[in-house]
Amino acid sequence: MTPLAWPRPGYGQLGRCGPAPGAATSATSGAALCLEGVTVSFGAHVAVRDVTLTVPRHQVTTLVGPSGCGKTTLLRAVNRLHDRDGATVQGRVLLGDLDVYGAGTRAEAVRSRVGMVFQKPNPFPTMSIFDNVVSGLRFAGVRKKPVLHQAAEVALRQAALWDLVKDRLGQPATRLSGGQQQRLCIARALAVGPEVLLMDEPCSALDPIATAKVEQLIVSLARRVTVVLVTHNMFQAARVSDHVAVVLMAPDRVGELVEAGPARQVLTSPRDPRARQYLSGHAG
Amino acid sequence: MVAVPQAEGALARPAKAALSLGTWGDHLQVLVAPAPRPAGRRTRVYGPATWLGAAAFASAVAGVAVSIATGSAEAFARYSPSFAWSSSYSPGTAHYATGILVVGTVVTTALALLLAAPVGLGASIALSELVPGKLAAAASAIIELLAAVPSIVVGLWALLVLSPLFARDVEPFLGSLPLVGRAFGGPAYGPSILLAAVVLAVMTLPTLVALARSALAAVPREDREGAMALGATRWQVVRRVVLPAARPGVKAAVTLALGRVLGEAIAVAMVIGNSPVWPRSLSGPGATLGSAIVNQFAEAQPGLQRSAVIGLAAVLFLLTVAVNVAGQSLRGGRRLWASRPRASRPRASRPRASRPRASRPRAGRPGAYQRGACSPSLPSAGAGEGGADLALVAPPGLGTRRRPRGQLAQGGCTLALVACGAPLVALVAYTVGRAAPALSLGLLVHPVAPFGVPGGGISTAVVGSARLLGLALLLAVPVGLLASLFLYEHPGRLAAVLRCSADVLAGVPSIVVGIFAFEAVVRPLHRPSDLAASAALAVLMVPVMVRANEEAVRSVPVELQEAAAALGASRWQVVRRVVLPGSLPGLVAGNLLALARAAGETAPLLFTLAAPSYAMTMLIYTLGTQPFPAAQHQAWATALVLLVVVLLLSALARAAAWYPTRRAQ
Amino acid sequence: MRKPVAALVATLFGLPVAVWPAAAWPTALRTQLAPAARVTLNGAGANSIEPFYEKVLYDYHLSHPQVTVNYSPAGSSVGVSDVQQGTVDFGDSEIPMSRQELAQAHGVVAQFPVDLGGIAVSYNVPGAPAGLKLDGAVLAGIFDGTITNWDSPAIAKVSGVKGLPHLRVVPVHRADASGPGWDLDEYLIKTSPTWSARVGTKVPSKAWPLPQVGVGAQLNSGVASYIAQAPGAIGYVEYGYALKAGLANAALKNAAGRFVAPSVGSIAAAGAHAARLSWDHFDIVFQPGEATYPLANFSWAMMYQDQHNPAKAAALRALFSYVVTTGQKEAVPLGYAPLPANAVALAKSVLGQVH
Repeated sequence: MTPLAWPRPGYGQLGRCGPAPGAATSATSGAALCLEGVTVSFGAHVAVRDVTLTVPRHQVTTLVGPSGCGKTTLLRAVNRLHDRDGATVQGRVLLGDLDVYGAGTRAEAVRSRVGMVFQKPNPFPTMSIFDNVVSGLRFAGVRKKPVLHQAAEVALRQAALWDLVKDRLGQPATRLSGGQQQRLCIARALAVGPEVLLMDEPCSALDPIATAKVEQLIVSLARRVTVVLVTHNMFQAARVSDHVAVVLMAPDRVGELVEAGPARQVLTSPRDPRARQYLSGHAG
Repeated sequence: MVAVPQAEGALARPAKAALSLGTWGDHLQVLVAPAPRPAGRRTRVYGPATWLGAAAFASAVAGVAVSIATGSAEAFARYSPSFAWSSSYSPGTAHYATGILVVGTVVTTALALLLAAPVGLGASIALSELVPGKLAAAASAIIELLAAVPSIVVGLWALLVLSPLFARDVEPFLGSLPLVGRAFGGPAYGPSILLAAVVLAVMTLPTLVALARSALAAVPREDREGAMALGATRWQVVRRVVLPAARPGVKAAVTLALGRVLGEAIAVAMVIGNSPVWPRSLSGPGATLGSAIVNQFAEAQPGLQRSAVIGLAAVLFLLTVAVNVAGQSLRGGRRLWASRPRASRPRASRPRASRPRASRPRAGRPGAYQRGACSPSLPSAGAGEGGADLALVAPPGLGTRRRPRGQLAQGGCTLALVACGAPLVALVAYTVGRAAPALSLGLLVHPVAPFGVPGGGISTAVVGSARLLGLALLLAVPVGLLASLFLYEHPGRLAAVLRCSADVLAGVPSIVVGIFAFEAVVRPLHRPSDLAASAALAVLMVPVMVRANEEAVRSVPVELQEAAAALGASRWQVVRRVVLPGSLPGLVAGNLLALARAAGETAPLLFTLAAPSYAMTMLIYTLGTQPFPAAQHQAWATALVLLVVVLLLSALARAAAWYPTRRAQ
Repeated sequence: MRKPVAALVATLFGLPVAVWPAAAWPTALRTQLAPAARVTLNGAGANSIEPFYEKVLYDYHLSHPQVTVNYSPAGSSVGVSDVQQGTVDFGDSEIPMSRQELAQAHGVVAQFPVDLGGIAVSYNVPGAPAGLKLDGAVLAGIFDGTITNWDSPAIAKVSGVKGLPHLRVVPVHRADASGPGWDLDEYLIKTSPTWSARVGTKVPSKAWPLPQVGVGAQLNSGVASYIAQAPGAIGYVEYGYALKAGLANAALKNAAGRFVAPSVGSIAAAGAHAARLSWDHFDIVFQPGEATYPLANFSWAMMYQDQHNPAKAAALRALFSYVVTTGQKEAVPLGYAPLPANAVALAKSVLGQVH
């Protein structure tokens, strides 16, 4: 993994989103996603406070932290899934040059550029494998059959599922095994051609073999898509991440980003004492 | 599913076990000492008691079927089989034009469903998907409560308020429309097939909405979010994900509504115009099987005439059974004979195995879909990991094309919610408005008096209703509970048959049950009585109770029962200490809902009650049609009291079901 | 968690159980005090007589609290069939039981008149005067659907009223079988040249012979209500109901060729002509006499002569002696005519055989 220039600690400093200093070293680099002072609260309860983070393009960035610290909440702020669960999001999220919470930005427009894979595989139970894969395109208004077929094949190949399902595309998606279902969900997310793929503990419901496959997939996907992964499994973070951001619970039980940087650096020699304490307890 | 063995023997373990602890003895004995009595009487009685409950329930089902069958045998034997479709009408000679009545029933039902189903579905979508949380919760609660509004109150409202309105404005207007107008041609009478259908639709909407909404709400959040994360608009989530997943539940809701609409007799008889003619115009009068039974049963002379009216009931019975069976098989296969109730989550339903749909290439925007660095010869691209750079780029803003239609649909749903709520709110408001001036303490405490005698009240009817319902509860609750425990304890063919008959009985029109009570209780006792009326109400309540109880009992985790059994509890003790307490809220809620439904019934009392002043619904029925304002005021006051009672009962039921979940938080 | 749920259960089961005995309590007390005297009589039958019965039976209960009488006004045929099946203690019908019907009963049935009523032909025509003159031919035309508008020349000619509105005629008939239907059917058969050909029989029937025309409403009250609310409607209804509802009633052409509106007096005039009154000679439709209203009938009580329960027999005798004598004072205000002397005599003699 190529260590990339990490915009100097996002944490603790109200950095501005924009071309990261020294980011022009690679053609593919640059910020795909930028969080700026993001605070998510459910009514009076603040779940995540003041997170500023820049996610570099075409890399795997992993959010680690104990369960309940707000990693998932933070992730869902990126594609505006909080719009309908009663949470309010403050701060700024930039997807490329698109202000995600800007006035006049439609949630659907954001989401069609951001894929998401959930904890539990959630293929649409009433749809076939094929219909699942192309559902995002159909949502976007694509109707042409050849286009859909092509897209389905590409997405399924990318998810390393094509050979497995190419002869039974018409079967209900629920007949696949758990790991296969999760890869189907990944294919479904990829078919839309997202710039960023959010993965919320995608392996937590899978067995070790399926987990390995999905991890492999994540690494290979990062060549084409920016991946933001949430996990509480430190080993997984170490296996797949280019960058790691540590989210911890502050004493008032609000999630905060305490450290972010290149994976090796953060995982082996974290600068923040809280991160050090947490990582030594877990990954140690 | 009952993995716990019949553990009666466990209790028979000698009480000396405590003594054998030896030197620990004195101390421990205190803890262990209330030694189990040898095979308690209750334990021995428990099994037979459930059998008894099941037998009582089965005999009620059989009683209804047999009394209708034997009652109508003479007519069928005489005219068979033409009786079922004859169109000659001459009540004096036992010709009731069954064919015309069947057509009238089908037309009325179809029209009612045509009105109710889109509105109900739209409203439930609005409630479950579009309206913000708290508002939706409040609206759903209100609508669920309104499901208990007695049909007699809807009928009264339609007769006194809607009928003149329809004659003056609605029917002439519909008749003047181009194209559609042809269906509403002819003179506008007010009472008509259309009005009856509107009554039925209003009556059934709350149930329909409540059931459909809960089916929609049961679609897992992950499914919705999966679609949202893919960029689906709110409407697309509904259309593509939620609706398909909720389809079985929605279908069930519509079937249930259909069954209720099909069997409603009294409210229809009040407003349909009772003219047994082939329906030529929807704004003309008509007749249904139910309305004909209401009008003819009491009048028919014993013998062939009576038999012919019961024959109408038999045809109605078969019609509803056919609809219910069809609905259940639609709902997804084996339901009817399944030896276990289906999991209630719609997700468990068999997904539709749709092949890659050949979506017609529509005139979409060319190039709306672009491949980034993708070569045209895609299939040749390497699979999986090593694959070429296949990034697909869907340009942002692709969804715009679909937006207007979604907006339109959302607007339609919101409108449907309004259309669904408006008549119900109007109905309740009108009832309160009309009843308020008439309502006084004196009205509530004084007995019913003849017209013109001042100081008359409705206490006879209020007390009478309480008496009927109390007696009906005494009859129904034990049978319902024991029969449901039987279903719970004996999974298998027999239980499946019983469960199926509960579903059938639950769908039987209440007027048919009224006829059963007349044949089975009034005739043998030689007089109408509270007992006969209560028996009819009990027969209506039992199937609802059986199914609700069973569901409640099954919700208790098996692990808990096994834990109790492992401690040496007998089967009865497991049920008594673990199953029943655990399912108590569900039991109470189910029984209360059944009671609320029975409280609003009129048709079963029609032929069984000694005088109309002995029940609130019957009093409304007789007073409401009187042409005197004083009588109508009394009818509205009674309607308000009934409404309050019924709404309270169903609010209690909701509270009972809701309380433990709140406690758990 | 237990307590509120337990309270719910207690309410659910406790309340009705508590209310039940409470409702029965005074009754029970009375039974305790005078166990032998307490009687409940159940009756069912004609809807037309209900206002009269209700008032008289109520008065009777006030003066004889040990007797409770329930009357279910479900329709006159109910009275007949319930007596046949023995599901009531007494029945009531405008048309006494026929020989055929008596043959189906389980014993000798005593039948006697209890009140005298008339059938109004009421209408709701804005601008039309009360007492619109109508004869059998016009009525037949209205009820068989050949006269469709109020400004029809046929109506204008008979009534002598010009300028009735151009309003559709809505004939209202009873959805259930009824005594008033029987009366009007007979009047039309006797007075209209076309009616019996149209309905295909010369025998009057309680079930309305042409339900296909117009609207069917339930019971007298339903017909009266519908007429009151629907302009253009016309229908037949017990005079007592029409009176209370304030409906406009037609003056019908009687046997003497006069047009007579229903009133207590004109109905009484019809009753006065019933010289040889008995259960098989009950018909007083279209009686002679200049002041006679043509649509009138007695209402007949029916009960088994042999009551197996002597207490009930005594109670029935006492009750109906009261109804046919003292009770008649209630008739006039409610729109019924008092029973003529010969009818009272008949009732008393028949009633004397009930034991």
